[in-house]
Amino acid sequence: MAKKRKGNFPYVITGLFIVLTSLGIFILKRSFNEARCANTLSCEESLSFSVNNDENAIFNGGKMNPPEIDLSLLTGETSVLGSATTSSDKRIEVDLSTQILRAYNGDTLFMESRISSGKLFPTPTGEFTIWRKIRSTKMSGGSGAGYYYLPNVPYVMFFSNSQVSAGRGFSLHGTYWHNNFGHPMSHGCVNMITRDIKKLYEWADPPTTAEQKQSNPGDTGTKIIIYGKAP
Amino acid sequence: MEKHRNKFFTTFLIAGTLFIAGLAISARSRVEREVPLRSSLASEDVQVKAIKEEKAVIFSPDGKYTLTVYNASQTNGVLLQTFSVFSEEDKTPVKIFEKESNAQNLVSVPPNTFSPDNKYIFLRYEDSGKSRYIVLRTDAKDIKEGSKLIEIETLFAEKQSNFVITDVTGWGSYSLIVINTDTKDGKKGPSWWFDLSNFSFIRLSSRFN
Repeated sequence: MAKKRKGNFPYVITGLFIVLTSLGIFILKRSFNEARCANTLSCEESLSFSVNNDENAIFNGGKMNPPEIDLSLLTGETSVLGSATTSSDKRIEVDLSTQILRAYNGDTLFMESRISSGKLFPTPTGEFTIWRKIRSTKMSGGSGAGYYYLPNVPYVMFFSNSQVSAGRGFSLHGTYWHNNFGHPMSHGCVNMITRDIKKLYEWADPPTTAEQKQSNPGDTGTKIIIYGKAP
Repeated sequence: MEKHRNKFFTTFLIAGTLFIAGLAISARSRVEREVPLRSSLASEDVQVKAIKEEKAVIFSPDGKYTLTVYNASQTNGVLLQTFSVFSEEDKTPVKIFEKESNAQNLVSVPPNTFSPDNKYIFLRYEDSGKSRYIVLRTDAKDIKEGSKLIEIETLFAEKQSNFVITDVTGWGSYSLIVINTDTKDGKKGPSWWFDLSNFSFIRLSSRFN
């Protein structure tokens, strides 16, 4: 009898292992999905250029009209003649505690603007570089009352570093769905006033104009320093 | 021999389980990690507040609409404040609000005044040392039947007697105004949406600090 019980022991352990492994994978997958992308549903899609002028946006339970992007003005070119040199003196600082972004060229202040950082999911802090700029993309995520679907998000500048990978999709971008800057509102990205990010987009490296779809693949750009604790 | 094999098997399974659990915990904590690099800077008030005879210009977030505030001195010592809006497409200014003010109850333009679709603005004025907020349409039409403006404080007090408005910070969506409140006894209260589609107040579970 005792021998039979001993014989079942490995099977019990195997069963336990399968249950715990499944649980572990479930938690891991959930954490990964939450952690991987700033926009959990669009994820990789939000890293690509897209224009959807015929679609409505959804935010805070309401339908909205995204800003129309004039495709006839956009060119596929990804380099700008005469401005291919990058300035290492450019940097963008984001103070999460005051929700203010400042852009400098050396010691000269280029821009100061109120932002909205992550509310439910924190904006990562540290030193980053812009790895891609795209004129427009689609972002979606959340669920239930927090579901959002935002086509034509304008002037997107993705940033990353060795700890926060490019694939997670953190970016500075324009915002047409709220006007509550100076207060955390986003899902981890840095929301900016559209008229300000347009100027920043044209100023920051890698070089791109508002008429271009995107920056050159592989071009690294302006340094972004994010610090402080959001209120 | 079999005993050793079982022992090895068990150890392997437990180690594997712990490894996976460790990975799950580490993935979760990585999201929350914050590395502050610098101390905070002082917040700067970007509020436009015209206190003498002058003209102030405020752009909407998309730059397509412009609000102008013109303060003109009157002979009786008060200021006539005129608020007008014009769009990028139609440059003709539309007068949306006019008020005779003095230094104690001057109307000012708070940050985030324009709704995201540029259909509304909200303004602030002082009344007996307290900030009050009004909402208007940018096309100068009635916002409510027979009324060009809505005064948020009065409407809120009628519906929510246990809270007082401390701040109106901006717009959570096209027609949702973000309101912060305290309780009547001075404790920090919740945030609310003021929904312009039906003039209701929706209590939120989180606060917009």
